[in-house]
Order: sequence, then structure tokens, then C-alpha cells
Amino acid sequence: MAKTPTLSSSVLRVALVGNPNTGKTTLFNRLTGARQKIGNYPGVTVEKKSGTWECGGRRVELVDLPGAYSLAASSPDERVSFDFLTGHLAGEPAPDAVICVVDASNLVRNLFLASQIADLGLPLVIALNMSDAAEKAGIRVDAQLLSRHLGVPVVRTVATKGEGIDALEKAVNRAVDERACMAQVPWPEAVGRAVSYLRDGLEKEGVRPLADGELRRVVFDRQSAVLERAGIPPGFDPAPLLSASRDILTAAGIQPLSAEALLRYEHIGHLTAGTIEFPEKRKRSWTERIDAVLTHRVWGLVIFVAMMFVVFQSIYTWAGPFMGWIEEAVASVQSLVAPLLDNWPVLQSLVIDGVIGGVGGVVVFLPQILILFFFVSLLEDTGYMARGAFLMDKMFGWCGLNGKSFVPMLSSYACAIPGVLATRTIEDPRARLTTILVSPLMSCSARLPVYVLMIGAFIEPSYGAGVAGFTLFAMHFVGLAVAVPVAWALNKFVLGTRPQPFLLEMPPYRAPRFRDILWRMWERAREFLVRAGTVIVAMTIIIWALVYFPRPESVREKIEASAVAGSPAQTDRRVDAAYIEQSYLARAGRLVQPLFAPAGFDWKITVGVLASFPAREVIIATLGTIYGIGSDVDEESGDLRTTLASDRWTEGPRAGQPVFNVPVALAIMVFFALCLQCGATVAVMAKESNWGWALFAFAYMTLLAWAGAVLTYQVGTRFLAS
Amino acid sequence: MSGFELIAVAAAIVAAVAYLLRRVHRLLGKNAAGGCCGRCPVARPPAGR
Repeated sequence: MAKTPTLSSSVLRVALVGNPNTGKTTLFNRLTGARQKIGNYPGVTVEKKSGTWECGGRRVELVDLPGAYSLAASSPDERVSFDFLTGHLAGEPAPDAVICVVDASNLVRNLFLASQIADLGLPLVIALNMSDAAEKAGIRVDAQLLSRHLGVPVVRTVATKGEGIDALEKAVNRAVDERACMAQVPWPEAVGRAVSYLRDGLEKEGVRPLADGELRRVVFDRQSAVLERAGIPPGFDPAPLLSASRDILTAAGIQPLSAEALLRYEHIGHLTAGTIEFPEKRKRSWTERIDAVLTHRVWGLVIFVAMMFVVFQSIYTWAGPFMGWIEEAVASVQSLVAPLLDNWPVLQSLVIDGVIGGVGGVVVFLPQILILFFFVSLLEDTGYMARGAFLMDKMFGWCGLNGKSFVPMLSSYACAIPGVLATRTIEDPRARLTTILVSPLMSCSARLPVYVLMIGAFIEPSYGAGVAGFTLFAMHFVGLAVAVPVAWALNKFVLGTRPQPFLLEMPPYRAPRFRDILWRMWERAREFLVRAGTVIVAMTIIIWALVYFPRPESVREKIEASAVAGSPAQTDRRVDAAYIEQSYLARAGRLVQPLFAPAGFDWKITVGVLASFPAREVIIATLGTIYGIGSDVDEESGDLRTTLASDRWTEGPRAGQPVFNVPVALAIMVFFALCLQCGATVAVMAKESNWGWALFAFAYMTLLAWAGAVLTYQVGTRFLAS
Repeated sequence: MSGFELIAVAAAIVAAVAYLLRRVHRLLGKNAAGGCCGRCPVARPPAGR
């Protein structure tokens, strides 16, 4: 039974529920001043979030729940909503009231969920959100009359503009004070009998008492999780009892699995009678007209690919000048700080080559991150991403997944962590696990700096800016192209996932809000800089120490005593190079390098790759540090791209040849595209599945990355100019 | 290398190692137990809390 709401407590708890993409999180942000992520596509919120709301003199803890079409709770995110509303979420009492956010354009369908909440006996307020869009489409809802019919306050709101907030505050206070509950479905007598029969049977077996609303869920839902959580005693099989209770309905001429929908919609039809006015002649909306082209089975895909190409081409070309400015700024800081540390050469190397050189090398890629998130936010907020899911459904269907997996995989293009969390919207546990296992293959923003470095240093000088932009675009599809056969193999041979039906509500196209886009860009930029200032700095210091030490005097004496003539600066550079070659990092790198030799990697790239397992960007800091120590501080040193291009093999069969060339650059990019080099993602995958699957993903992606890099290098050296 | 340099460099290395170990501990412990790594907007707790 649901726990008693905490009316006596000084802080009210109010839940915000509703169908997906009805603007719950926008309303939540408006009421609490929070900045939770919003998006014009379903499934953005996958776990509950709470914030404080000053509601007409009362302090309210407002809880934003994941969007749900019903309380049948078939996916993990919907289960969170049901458990919270029934007071069964660990340590969480049931809410004092519920705000059900409904899309005013789809009132009848949205009220289905509200009528299920009515069954739980919770005070309810209906927020008729997106009322402006409904009115524009000629749909008018008489809120006052609807309120009288439903028996609960109904408030017209436009969350994006902050309209209706005052009225909502009053309505929530009224609903709590009056315990206003929505009119419940007048269930046929047979439903009552089936529920009583089930209750008696369960109580006899020692199952904890369940409320009528919960028992109805057990009877109506094909696979209800209610019984599971009620605590079934060992050895008790509830199936015969459940079947017998459903037989009571069948005998009365009611189909148990369709009864709820039929009875509720009939009830909602009565309640909304005379309250909704539709336009006499329905006009074809702009959304429908645009969708005729953008979701066309041929043109839709062509436009999708073309749009992605433009996005990546823009990321590559627009960022150029900004990168130059940051590079100049980093060099200025180095030249300003270096003289201050002239008396302490070791410390000077740590600060200039290690910290500033390493971190500066990563920070240089901030413009690309900003431009990427500008486009991602733009596409999300307009509603285009939902179309992307629709277009991808066919391709995903081939590998046993469906368009529902596209939203988590799309989120993984920003960062795999929210992507893995977003799989909670997937009902089927095996389809969910497959999506978790392939989501990190999507090219997250941490890979972007690696691509841009390699493309800028080796692809653009050889093939021009057009091919450089195309390569960046293609690298973002490598992971997706590999994810499809991997998902197919996982489904076919390991998990045995069955094809799932895909239902996606297409949100209307909306003009994006510039402020939201700027905020998301800022959030990502801050995250990127914080990462550069924490993990990358720490890794850089360790890498620097491993490259700098040991420094035996014998190495210097040997160089100075050698017969090769040259200026003191040239001798210094030769000494530095000799020190690096015998450093701890070089020794370790040489030990492992044979493993990566088939991919064309030297020991420096090898240690860069190995150091990047905690976080991908570390390779840039590693290469920045190694090549920083190798260059003279006072010398007019070029950027990292120029330095990489000039490095040559000093030994082995390739002695004298460039270390980096086009095939090596492509092999590095493919390795980074396919490898799971993110400690945080592995931990989140373990949390969402278990450590076994997380380690499986780590192992298969590492092997795949190695094989991909070797294949790319071997094919590249035969067909591409080096 | 002077005494000052030795101390400064050693302190930086110890601090970096300690920081990374703490991160690993958080990833293995706090996240695995259902906590929050605070790295992404989804996991970040809302303002005002």
C-alpha cells in the first residue's frame, strides 16, 4: 500500500508527471530556476530530478519524473515514475500532490495517464501546457469547464514563456488543501470482483497488502512489475491466481488486456465532452509539410546525410581562426612564465612543457566543441532529432534494434554517459543491454580533438580543406557503421533479442531558443575546461615526470663529447632528444610498441594511446608534453600539428622516414573511434548493467580498435600517399 | 636539481597521483553504488539543492 503523503511536514513534495515531450522539464526549470537538460524529442529525462519551488508562500520540493504514456511501467524510466507515485521508491515517501503536464493539442490521449494517477488517490492539478501551440492550431480547451468535469484544478500554461505560473501556484495550493482528486473511472462490478479475488489470494500467501489501483495494474498489465516488488514468497507462483482473476473479467465479457484502455478512454470521453473545440477545417500544419520532405524515405536520408556533412564541414572550417588565437595565447603564456622560472630548469620544464604545453594542446580544441554543441542543440531543439530516429529505424531494425535505440546513441555523440543512461527508455532488457554495449562506439565529443589534430596535421596538407571536412564527417560515422554489425552479432549470437515495435511521437517543429542553445554550449565548454584543468593536468604531470626522468649526466657528456659539430642550441636539442629516448616512458613505450607496430605506431604514439585509456584527450596532452620537452623553450616553436609532421623515426627499418603520415593518422583516428577509452563510461555501464558486461564492452572495443587501426594502416600504406 | 625544485616537483607528482586515485575510487565506488560522477548534465544535481 502506498505510504501516507507527508502533509504534516513543512516541505511539500509535488511530482511533475506527463507524457514524453510535453514540456515537463521546461516547466520544472521555470518553477525551480534549475537548468536541467531539455530537448524537443521524447526521452530526455530518464531519472527523477528534484528542485525547490517557492509556491505561494509554501516551500515545495518539486520532483521531475521521466515522461510516461501510462503507469504500466514497462521500461526502467517508467518504473521510476510509478514507484515514486506509489511511495515505493527507496527512502522516498509518496508525493503530497501531482502536477500532470498535458499537451493541450493532444488532451484526450494525455488524460489517460492523469486518469491512472487518479486511481492512486493523489491530489492532482492539470497543467494544460503548450496552450499557445494548440490555440494556433485552432484547438480551444475550456479550462474552467474541464476543471469542473475532472474535479481538479486545470491551468493553462506556456512553460517556455512562463505563462500560467501564478495560476499554477494557486492551483497546487488549492489541490493540496482540498485534496482534490480526479474523477475515477467507474469500474464495472466484474473488475471489482477480480481485484478482490486477487487481493484475497495474495494476502493468503503472505504478499504485502496492495492498494486497489496497484491490484488493477496487476490484472490489466501483460507483465506487471507490481507483484515483483510486493515481495512474492519463495515457492509461490502467482500465475494461476492471476489467470483466475482475469477469467472473472473474461466471463463478464471484458477482455482483461484491452479493458483498461477501452474503459478509460470512454470515461475520458465523458469528462471532456463539450470542453474541446476543434477547428472546422483542419489545415495541414507546417510540421506536416516539412515532414513530407524530411521523413521521405529517399529525400529524408539524403537531407540527413547532407545536413550532417555540412555540420562537420562547418566545425572544421569555422574553428580554424579561433584555434589560431588560442594557440597564440598559450604560446604567450609560455613565453611570459618561462623567464620567471629560469633559475629552476626542472620546474620550468614541468610548468612550460608539461602543464601549459599539455593542457594548452587540449584547450586549443574548445572552438570545435562549442560549434559541435551549437549544431547539436539546434537540431535537438527544433525537433529534427526525432526525425533522425525515425529515419534510422529501418537501419536499426536490420540489426535487431529499433529507432528507440537511436535517442541513446544520439546522446552518445555528445557523451556516452547520458547516452547509456538514456537506454532506460527501452522496455526490452536485452535490447537495452545491446544499446548500452554499442552506445560508446558513437563518436563522443572527446574524440573530436584527436580527429581535428590528425586531420589538420596530415589530411588537410595532402588533400585540402574539402577532404579534411569530409574525413571529420566520415570519422563520426565509423562508430555507427561498426555499431550496426556489432549489435546484429550481439543480438544474434549472444543475447537473442527479438525485434521490437517502435512507436515515436513526432514533436512539432519549434523555433529554438537562442538562450538555451548558448547555455548548453557554455555547459559543455565548462565541462571541457574543467576536465582539462583536472584530469588532464594530473595526467600531464605524471606523463611529464615519466618523460623527463631519469636524467643521467652521462647522456649529456656522451653527446657533448661526440664529434658532431653544431651550435649550443642544436647540442641542447640533441641532448633533450637523447634524454627522452632513454626516459622511463620511452622504455615502457618500447616494451609495448611491438603490439602496435602493425598499426604503424612508434613508442610515442603507443604511450599516448595507453595513457588515453582513462580519458581520450590525454593523447594530445601526452604528445604535447613529449614534443614540448623535445623542443627548445626559447626556440620559435610551431604548434603541435607542425611538430608532429616533422618527427622522424630514429631507428629500425623506417629510420629517417616520418613517424606520422596519412595512413598512421587514419589508423590513430580509427583506433580512437572504436576504443572505449573513458573510465567514467565503463563505470556507468557497470552501474546500468553489471561489471561483467562493462568489461566485455571494454575488451571487445579494444580488440576492435586494434584490428581497425591495423587494417587501416595496412590498407592505407598500399593505397594512399604517405 | 635544487632542493626547492625537488620538493616542488615531488609535491606536484604526489598531488597528481592522489587526485587520479581519488577519481578512480569515486568511479569504482560511488558510481558503481548508484551515485553520481557529476561529469555530465544528466547526472549533475539541479541548482537550488
